[in-house]
Amino acid sequence: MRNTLLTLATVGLAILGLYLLTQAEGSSGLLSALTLIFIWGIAAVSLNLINGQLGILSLGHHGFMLIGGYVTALLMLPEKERAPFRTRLLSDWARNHLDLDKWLRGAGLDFIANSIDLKFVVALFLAGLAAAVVGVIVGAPSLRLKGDYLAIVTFGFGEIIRLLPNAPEVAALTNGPLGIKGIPGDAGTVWWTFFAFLFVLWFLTRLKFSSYGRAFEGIREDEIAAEAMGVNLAYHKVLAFTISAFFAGVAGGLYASYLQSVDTQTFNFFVTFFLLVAISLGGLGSITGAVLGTAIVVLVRIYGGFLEKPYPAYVGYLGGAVVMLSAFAFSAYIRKARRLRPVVETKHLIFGALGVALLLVTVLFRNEPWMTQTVQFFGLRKILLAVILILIMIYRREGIMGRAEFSWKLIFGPREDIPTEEQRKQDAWLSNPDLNPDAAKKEDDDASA
Amino acid sequence: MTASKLASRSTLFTLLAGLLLVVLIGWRIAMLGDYTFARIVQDFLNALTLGSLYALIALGYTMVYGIIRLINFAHGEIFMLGSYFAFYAMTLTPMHWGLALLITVLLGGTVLLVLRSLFNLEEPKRTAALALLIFAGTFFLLAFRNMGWIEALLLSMLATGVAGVLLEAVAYRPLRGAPRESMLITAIAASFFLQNMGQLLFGPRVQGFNAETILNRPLNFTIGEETVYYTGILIVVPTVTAVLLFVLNLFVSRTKLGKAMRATAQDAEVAQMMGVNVNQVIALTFFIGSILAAAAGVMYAIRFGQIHPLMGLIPGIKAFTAAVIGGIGSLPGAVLGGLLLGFIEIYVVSLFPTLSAYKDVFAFVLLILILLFRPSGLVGEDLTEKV
Amino acid sequence: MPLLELRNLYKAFGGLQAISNVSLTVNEGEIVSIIGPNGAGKSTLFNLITGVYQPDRGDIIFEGERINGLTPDKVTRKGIARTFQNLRLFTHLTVLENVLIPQHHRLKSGWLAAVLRTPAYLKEEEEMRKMALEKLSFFGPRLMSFRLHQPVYVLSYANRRRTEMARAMATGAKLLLLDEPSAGMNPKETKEITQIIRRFRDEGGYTIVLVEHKMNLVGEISDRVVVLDYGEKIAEGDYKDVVNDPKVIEAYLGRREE
Repeated sequence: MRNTLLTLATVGLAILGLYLLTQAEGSSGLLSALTLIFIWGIAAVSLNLINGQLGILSLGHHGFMLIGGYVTALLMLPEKERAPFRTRLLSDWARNHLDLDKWLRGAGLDFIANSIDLKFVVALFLAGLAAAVVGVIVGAPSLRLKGDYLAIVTFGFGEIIRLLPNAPEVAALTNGPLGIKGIPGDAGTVWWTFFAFLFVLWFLTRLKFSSYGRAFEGIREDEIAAEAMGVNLAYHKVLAFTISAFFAGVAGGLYASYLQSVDTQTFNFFVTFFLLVAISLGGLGSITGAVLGTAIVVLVRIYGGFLEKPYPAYVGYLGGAVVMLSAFAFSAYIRKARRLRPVVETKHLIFGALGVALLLVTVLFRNEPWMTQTVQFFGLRKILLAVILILIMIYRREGIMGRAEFSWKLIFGPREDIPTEEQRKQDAWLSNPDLNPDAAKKEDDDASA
Repeated sequence: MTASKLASRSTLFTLLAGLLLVVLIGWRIAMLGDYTFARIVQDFLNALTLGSLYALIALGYTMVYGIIRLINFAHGEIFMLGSYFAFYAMTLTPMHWGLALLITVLLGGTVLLVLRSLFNLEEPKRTAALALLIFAGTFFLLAFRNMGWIEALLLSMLATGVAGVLLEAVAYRPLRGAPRESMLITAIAASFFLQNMGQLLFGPRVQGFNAETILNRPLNFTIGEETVYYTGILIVVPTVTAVLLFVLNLFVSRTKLGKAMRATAQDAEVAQMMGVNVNQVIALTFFIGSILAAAAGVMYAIRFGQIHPLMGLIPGIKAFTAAVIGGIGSLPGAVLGGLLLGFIEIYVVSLFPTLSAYKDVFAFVLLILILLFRPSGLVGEDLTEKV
Repeated sequence: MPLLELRNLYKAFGGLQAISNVSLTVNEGEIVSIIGPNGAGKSTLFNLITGVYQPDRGDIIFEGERINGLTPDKVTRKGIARTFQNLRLFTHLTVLENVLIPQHHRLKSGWLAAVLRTPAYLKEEEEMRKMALEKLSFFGPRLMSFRLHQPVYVLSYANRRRTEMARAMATGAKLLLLDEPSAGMNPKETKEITQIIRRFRDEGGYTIVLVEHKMNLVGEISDRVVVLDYGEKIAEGDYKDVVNDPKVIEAYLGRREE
């Protein structure tokens, strides 16, 4: 009861905070960032369901999001955007038939058709459904394959889905490489994404702490044991994929609305990689971790732009030197702290040497023209993300949270897994012959046997 | 179902698939009126070249997987580095002697440090001679020669080999013993890292690769009334590939190090107990795999005339598919798979031109089908994972 | 009708005949022990019964129904549960979760009902928890109270074995296959386990087949003992008879040089 109240209070505070933010001046950047955190947060926790809770590495998530994005786009495309001059490749059939308005009015659900918000709910639901259907197909190989082979198969599916909209036959529906533009942006606002995010969090948390969530984690811990304990592996694996794909589709739809356009480059493998960094950073298997990781990664992406501004070249060399030398120092420190031998390996020496070399180059050639010209380091943020992921894999595979979840119990108690004084005494009594006469008796029996 | 029953079922499936393919091709040739002998020859030459390139890259995948069970997602980027190193070798040389010295020291030094076992201290004369050759040769080429394609090829192979070894040392070695999924994730991260580093350092745009005119001079000939378009590169690629394969085979089957590699691939722990320096062997594996990928990269660049930092993605996937088709972990399998994939790609596009847009999709579909129904590939042993 | 019937089972792995013409009948309420030298095929037999392997020939009949070819989870749902020789607990999950998961297959509520926490689902959860505590209480207060919420990897070895047995019971099975339940336990703990296994049968109504090496345990609780050697059944009967059977002695110790 207390926990529920605390949670509701927090949500209330968040809503209040969000409202104040929307009223504040110059907050559009921050609101944009929050919107993206919510959207990618949904995608990340849905990926976490498979990769973290079920324990199956799935690399095709961008495919599910793409399906969700395109379905939402096609369903919500307003009349004027369907005109021939905008969507050249979109076939007449698609233009005339994939119209949610028409369906709803045809079914007499005018009140939904007239409210764009309600229409979006229907559209997103259908988008998720479409992605879920594909999720069943992608999940099927998990019954047969394991580990990295399975990961590659999911990757293959993701890429096939990404390539299909460009194919001539499919372009009749998807407008090919031109993509679909002019999607209404109503569902891409901070309020929409916030409430969608809350809903998904609620849903998946409820799932995790239910018998089904336990079944998923049992499969992750030991598939053979889970099967021996009566868990139907096939059903549960496919179920996880389906639910995960559903929410990925929803996230894709929200993103399509946010961007107000989709094409085949919107949801490429980098998206999956991005999500992978987010959940690995946060902690595989933890919903809290997935949210945390997403927040960090999105903030890096948005506010890391300063890294990619124009700078004189020597900044690059100097920066490189600093990175190399700190990598050297860092690894030496970690290895000393974790008592690994040898403290300094060959490769660390190479880092150090390169660092020193770069430093020398910077100092010696400081005023040469090729040092002072301006350059821009495009893609530095992506490099940073890749480096973060590698560092996590090497030094702290469990991420920030590990598998733990945030719970009010952690702050306010009670801690059920730590024994009270009373309980500890009882436990000690059970096995201590001085205190427990029965234990003493048993030992005598054994001694004389 | 017993293991042998499963094996024969997948063999049956493969044979059926092959039969289907042959029938399909035969029917299609009959349907197409204009599929002349000249076109068959043209396609054959193109397919041989493409297949050889895939084979070279596939070997890198299969060798690494065979030895540490890692799918080196970043191998496509190694291939890309090979092209770029050759490009810079040809365009930046001769360079300032200081820079040449720096590069020589770094390259040679890394080779010496990491591949100590190649340099057997028991034979100081041979060791010194080899080291001197590498150092002097590199320095000379960098500082004094405007490198032609062959020298660029050799130097690029050395540099890319070093890059591969560094990749393993930095990103994969710390994860030795970790679950395979973690290693795969690291490989993916390494792949993105190299792609974006490439874009940063080399520029994101497509770069023209001005190959030697001697290789691109048309050597067209005619069959019947049709011209078969032929340039020097279509001879060079299969030849270079054949030479490299021959040397590789010699190395793996006859030398002590080659034997060590095979032993480590079978059982690393026992190999270590038998005195094999497993770290060195793994580094060597990456070195060789990267050398081959670099060769492929240079020849690919010459053949297609352009390079860009993301050029490794699609050929990487296709070569990986080829390795899986042939049987991942098997060297002849990788070559077979590469050639097969090259032939399938060229001939399918030639016979079914409307399908050319689906070229890449097809590669992925093939990959999934193979992994689902015949994960051991054509030549590999049946390794249906036992529960 | 016997609870479990094995008829002329054969199983080979490549060239090795692991199980050769083994027949066995287990009646309800019995405690049957399977003994034999290492490599005799005891664990293989368990794997055959629980569906991990399929027999090459022969039938496995449970409660009159032929269960060859069923997957392990289906076999469990029919009413056969097992423990593992080398312990296969859900290591990072808590004791309670370990004992709740085996009950999952009895859940009638679907996943959506679980998410929505319908009253029907909540009732089922409550019952699952009650059953979990009931099964754990077989071992005294040890695994209750605070241990319930501790991850299994902090538990002592003996406690882990106990958790594994509670898990097997929680599946709702009638027949328990215990694979070396006292492995790694000291004499005091072994004695305790012996009493507990007997209580499983007496109070819990379980039928038990166990594989064991410790003869005092076997002797104390078995109604019947079956001896396997090189995949064949070489003796069956009372503990005293079996232990003095010359074939059995030969299997374990070899023949006495005359």
